[in-house]
Amino acid sequence: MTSKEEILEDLRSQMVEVNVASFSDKLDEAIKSGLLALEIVESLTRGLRIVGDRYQKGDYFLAELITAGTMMTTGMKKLKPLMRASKKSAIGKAVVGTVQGDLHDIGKNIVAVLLKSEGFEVYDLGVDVTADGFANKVREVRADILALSALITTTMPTMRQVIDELIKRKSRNSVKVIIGGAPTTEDFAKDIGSDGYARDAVTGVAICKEWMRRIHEAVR
Amino acid sequence: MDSVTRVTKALSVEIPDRVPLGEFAISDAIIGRILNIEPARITYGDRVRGFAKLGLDLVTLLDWGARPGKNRQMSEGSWVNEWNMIMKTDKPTDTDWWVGTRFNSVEDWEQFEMPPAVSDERLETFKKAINEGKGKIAVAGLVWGPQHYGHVLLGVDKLLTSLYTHPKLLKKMLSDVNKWWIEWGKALIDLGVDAMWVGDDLGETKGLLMSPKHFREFELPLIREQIDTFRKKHVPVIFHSDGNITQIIGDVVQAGINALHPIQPNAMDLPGVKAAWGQKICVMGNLDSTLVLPGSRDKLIEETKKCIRTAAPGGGYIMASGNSILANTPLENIQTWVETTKKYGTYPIRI
Repeated sequence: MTSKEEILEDLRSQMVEVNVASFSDKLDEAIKSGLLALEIVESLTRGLRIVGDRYQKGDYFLAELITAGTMMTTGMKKLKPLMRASKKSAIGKAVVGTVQGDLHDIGKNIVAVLLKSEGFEVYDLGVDVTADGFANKVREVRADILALSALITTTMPTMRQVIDELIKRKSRNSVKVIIGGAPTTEDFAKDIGSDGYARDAVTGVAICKEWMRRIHEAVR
Repeated sequence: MDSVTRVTKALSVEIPDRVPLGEFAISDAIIGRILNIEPARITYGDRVRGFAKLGLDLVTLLDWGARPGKNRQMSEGSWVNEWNMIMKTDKPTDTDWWVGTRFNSVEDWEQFEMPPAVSDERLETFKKAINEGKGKIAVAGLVWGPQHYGHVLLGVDKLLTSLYTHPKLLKKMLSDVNKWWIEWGKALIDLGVDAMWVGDDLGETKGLLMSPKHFREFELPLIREQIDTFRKKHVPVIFHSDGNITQIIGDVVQAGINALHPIQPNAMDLPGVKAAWGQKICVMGNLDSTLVLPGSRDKLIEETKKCIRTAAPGGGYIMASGNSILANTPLENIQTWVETTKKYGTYPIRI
């Protein structure tokens, strides 16, 4: 007889090895076996973390990271309805979006999936989001983190406008801002007054987790 | 020395009279400013005139392969072209952008009928543009590599996940697209372009979008076919890819390219690329287009000189930005950049 841990490991390895074809069947198998939805989510999160590690080491590429992210999203759709009873509190609130003028969502989507899998409550505002839109949401949900993405070089200056809007509304000190996207650089992040810069989604999420750890420590 | 000779020598890794200047793209907002034309009305011929007026030696005929008359209007300032691409006019710059796709997945490809690769309306438009450049500037045609055009048709995420979910169908789609662009590339060569670009974004800042294994299986044979076809017609080939493509430079060099562009400054290392590949191919680009080109005069001069010092000695370097010249770049900065290149890029290099 297969143990629960073996079922979870089997499912996790489908994600780690990016076996899209068998993932759905293995997920159904895990649900039917009587495992708690939360146990399955935690196992998948560990799988996604391994994929992220491999991506950071250069063993995996964006193709594997995105495909595993899609598998995680598929899994969450099936598991979410089963999870209400076992909901854990979020480690932080993050508002994410692609800045105005930019309709690319690939990097932003990966960040959103990874943040969710790491326990953040994520407010994904989508693409082409105005400075007002970001500032409103940050205030409305009392966000801990604001993650801004841009893929087109010409939309980078819009990131500055978002930060300026936060300053104007006196919300800047209550939220950590992180930026990312192909044309952005550390120098640019400093120049516009962002708290952080991430060269890739995995690094960005690690920075956000570290910020939350420090915030929670300071509160204790 | 005229621009065509200057560019041809650099592409052959020979020493011209001075470092040539070229660009993959310059925002139509800038072309509009230099020619005093509304950006939305700019034609390919205007771009050729604009590049030449700015003092460049090489212009690129960058296009998406669609006939303008076949657009389906969606709303004001937004339309779908005959490749199912959703396009939009960016109001502040009055320029057109690709913003999305009507393909939901690669499975939609089976029902899709590609437009004709060579059509009278496109031939006429490009013929005029190429003739506009004769005697003034080297004119380069462009074909998109299958990966980048696949990104445009499907979206980056759908293309990359299709490697795992629908590999056979993806191969079919990329192969169909490749045949289309090769036909168009041959037509451009017959019209008299001086060089060809193969534009294929393979990398992000950190590294390749797909693994070298996937690249060699899905992409490389198709790129090789493009390069072979154009080289056999005696036209030099410039390969463009954004991002860090260090892992597969050897593959594209071996496939027969003459030049590599744009050596994206926050992703690639110009001295390293020059040292490793500068004997075999011409290197083009690397000047930062986000902060340096639109930035202060002193920094712009310093960085332009740095590119020349690093990559120009011995020949085989074309000055260009590390991406394209953006709408927020002042005209006087472009003039400074051109003048600096002409002053310090004259052979023998003495900086």
